[in-house]
Amino acid sequence: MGLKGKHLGEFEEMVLLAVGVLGNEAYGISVKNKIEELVDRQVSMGALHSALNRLEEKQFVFSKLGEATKTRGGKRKRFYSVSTLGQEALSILMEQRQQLWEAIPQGAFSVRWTPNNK
Amino acid sequence: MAAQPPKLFDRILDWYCLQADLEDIQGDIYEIYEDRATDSVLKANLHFIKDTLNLFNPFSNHRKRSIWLTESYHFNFRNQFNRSLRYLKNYPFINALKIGGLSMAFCAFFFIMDYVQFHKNFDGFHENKDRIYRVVTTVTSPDLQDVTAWSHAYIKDMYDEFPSVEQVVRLLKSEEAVVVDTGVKQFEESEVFFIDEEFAQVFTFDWLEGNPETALEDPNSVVLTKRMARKYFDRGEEVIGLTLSINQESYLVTGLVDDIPSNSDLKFDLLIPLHYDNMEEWSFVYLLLQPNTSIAELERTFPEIIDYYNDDYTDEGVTLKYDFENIQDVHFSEARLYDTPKMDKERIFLFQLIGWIILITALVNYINLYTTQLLRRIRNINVQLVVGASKKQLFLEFFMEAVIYFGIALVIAITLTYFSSELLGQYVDFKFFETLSLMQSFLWLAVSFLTATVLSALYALVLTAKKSSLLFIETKQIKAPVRKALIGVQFALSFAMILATLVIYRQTVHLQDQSLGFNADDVITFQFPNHASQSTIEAFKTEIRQFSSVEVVSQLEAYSVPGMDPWVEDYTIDHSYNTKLIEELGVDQYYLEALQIDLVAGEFFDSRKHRSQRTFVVNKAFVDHFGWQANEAVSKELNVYGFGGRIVGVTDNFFFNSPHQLIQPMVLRYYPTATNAMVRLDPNADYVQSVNRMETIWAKHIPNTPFNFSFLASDYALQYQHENASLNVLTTISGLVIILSLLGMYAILLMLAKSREKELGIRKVNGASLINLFDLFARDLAKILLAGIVIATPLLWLGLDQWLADYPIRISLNPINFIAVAIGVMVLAAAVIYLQARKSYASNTVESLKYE
Repeated sequence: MGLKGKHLGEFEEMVLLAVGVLGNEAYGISVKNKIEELVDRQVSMGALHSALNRLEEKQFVFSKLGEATKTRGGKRKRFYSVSTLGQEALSILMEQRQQLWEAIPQGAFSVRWTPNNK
Repeated sequence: MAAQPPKLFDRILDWYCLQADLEDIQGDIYEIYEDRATDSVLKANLHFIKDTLNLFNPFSNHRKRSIWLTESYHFNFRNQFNRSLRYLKNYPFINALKIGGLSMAFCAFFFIMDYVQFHKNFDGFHENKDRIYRVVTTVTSPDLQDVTAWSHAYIKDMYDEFPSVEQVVRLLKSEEAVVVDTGVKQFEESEVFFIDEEFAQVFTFDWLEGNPETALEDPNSVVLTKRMARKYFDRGEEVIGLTLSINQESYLVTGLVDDIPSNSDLKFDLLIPLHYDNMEEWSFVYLLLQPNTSIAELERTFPEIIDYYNDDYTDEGVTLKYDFENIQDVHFSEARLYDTPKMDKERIFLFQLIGWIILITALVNYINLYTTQLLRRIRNINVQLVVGASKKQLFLEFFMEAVIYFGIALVIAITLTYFSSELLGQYVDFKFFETLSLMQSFLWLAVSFLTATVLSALYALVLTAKKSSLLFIETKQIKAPVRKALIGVQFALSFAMILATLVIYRQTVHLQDQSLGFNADDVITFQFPNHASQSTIEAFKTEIRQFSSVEVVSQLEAYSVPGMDPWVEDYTIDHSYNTKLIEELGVDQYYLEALQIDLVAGEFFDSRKHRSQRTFVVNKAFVDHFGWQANEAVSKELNVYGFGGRIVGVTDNFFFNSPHQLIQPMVLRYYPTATNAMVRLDPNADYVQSVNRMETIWAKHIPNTPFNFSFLASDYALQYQHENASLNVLTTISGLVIILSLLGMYAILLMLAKSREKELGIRKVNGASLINLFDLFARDLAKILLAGIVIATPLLWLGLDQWLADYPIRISLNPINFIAVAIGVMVLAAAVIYLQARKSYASNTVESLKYE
């Protein structure tokens, strides 16, 4: 499998998912805001950008620069989108987790995860 | 216009961020910033700073290439280094000024910081220093309050009543010199301490031989310092088990201690166990607290328990109050009776301040001179920029130059420090670089070196970084307001230093010029050993009185020699119940004659008429204290320390202690059989000869004891040591400060002249004279100097006034001094300005006016 050696960290996974959620509107700030909104967790600019850089290096996302605007000091945005490789990695991860969850014996956990459980 | 994020941090981001990523990252943080700035600009700024710093992640966003080197092969390290060296060589004069100023300042900084560190670390080598406290006593009676460095010996006997005290050690310095006989030679020693055997549990000294725990168990044991071991046995080791005769008793050497660090207040040569024979009522008392207990707790419980033991005193109307001072504060606390030498904290702080000011002044001067030089090579820098030098390369070049200058200056400074430390040490009476560890001085060195190098390079970079201004800088007239203001500060400082030196000098001279009321010249003092009987002493005295060169021989107590701390005793007058304390001297009938003090009423002691210990003479201050006439005091009944008697006479006032204090009321008790002697010699006689003859007679009567004498005048003058040492230090420093400020001024002038070169040329063509040029340069500088002096004057006046207020006998501040020093400083400044004006005047006008 092409994913060998391309480990996906917990934070990276979250960033990658957020990029997916945002579709065409995924750039630094929007990803940050999305994570903060959905996961209720503070994200620092430094951590976010290095995660995005790593994801790009691993070819899980690709990016292109947008148009210049009047805000942001005239700087262009860099938009990200999830590559096929990235999507594959996410689904493998999800699958692995599900398998692990299912392997937990009945009654071993006092908490039970169900897709609808918030 | 919307709020702008902090530029500096934007720049930092710019600097470290990978160029390819910069745009969108910057965009992102700008966007957040704009968003936040609508709420609060301050918060947005803080977040911005946090974000930029956060973004610095060495493993992802940084630039991959070295930021320093070879963006273009024209600018490599070697070329830059060569260029730097070439500039150094091509302007020898101005570079010598730069390096000279720096090395002088570095050197001064080393000396001052060593001095400061030395005093700050006093007694810092004791392992338990945080738990060692000295007990001092305030003795209060209705008339007099005295604080002594001593405390009552009984504290030792009752320390088990204080659970927070782990150990108590008493130290008693021998009042009289002790005679040590090695069997071959005799020595007289004064730094002998009688101590409790638990000494080593409290104090950490370096024991070379012997067991510190048990060495002092036997009363006839003695512990030596290495210095003493060498003196007695010609060797600094293997002395355990040897014997010494001390005051004609045999002692066994049981311990050897390395020489006492000079930054210790407990400077002993010999340690002898304290026991009943040598015990006194008062001594130094040091406590060792239990770990993790606070002194506050002891301060609370101490008085109650002590009061119980103090009945004797309270019955007599005298109260004792105990205070505790940490061993490291002892060196800085207020001087008390019988105390060790002191240093005041303000002075150390002031020295530290001056040290840093000198360093900073020199750095500012360096930067001023350096930027002036940059103007000369502005074309060169422009060319470098045009062919593609980056800012980093310029920075590297400036930094390298700074490193070269500072390196040379440091080497010179270290050499200078090394060779001048002994000479300077003698001049200011201080041993430099004795206790400061190498590591520490290296740290100081590295810190000052690095800060200075980086600062100067950064400053040069900031100046040249704006390419546009760089191109114009040549023709633009430089105003440099900050640098001029700094010159003003420097001159205000030199003004202050010189004036302070002058005032302290005047005050010292004033004190020393006081008529003391007695004559200390031609008087020698010495001490009879304990074992000399009164009849031997009488025989000796009778023989030396035969000398034609000996005018008077007086016998007195050790503490009655002028300049010592006199004894303080309680007394009552005319049987009134109020017990009071008074300074008391024990002297014989020749005391007044020996010191040439006048009697104002009654008579002085007379061996045929008066009883020893029971006849008193008081001084005029005593009489004045009661508001009597001198005659009224005569034949009043007086009881001093349990001895009742009568006042028979009143002496004129004399400064028993230096005029740092007013003359205190004093009682002279008739005591003709004390241990010390003063001999007044004929001023016209050869004193060497008379002393030699005295020694022969001494050897006949008192064999086995060396004849050691000293001159009263020089012993008495030791009381001015403090002022004299300060004065020497201040003279040196103010000399340095004025040189540095003249140098700084010269740098500014050079810069002004350079930037106005064409203007000056045109003026000269139009007939400007040397005076006109002088005027041109002097005009704004004079304003700044005046402003500096005017601002400094009131502060200085207040400060000096405060300093003088500590002296009851003092000079008054004289405005003429202020004016004279101000004029002096201005004249020096004018001289430097004149030099520059003349140089500009003499330069070839064509050179400055031609335009290529």
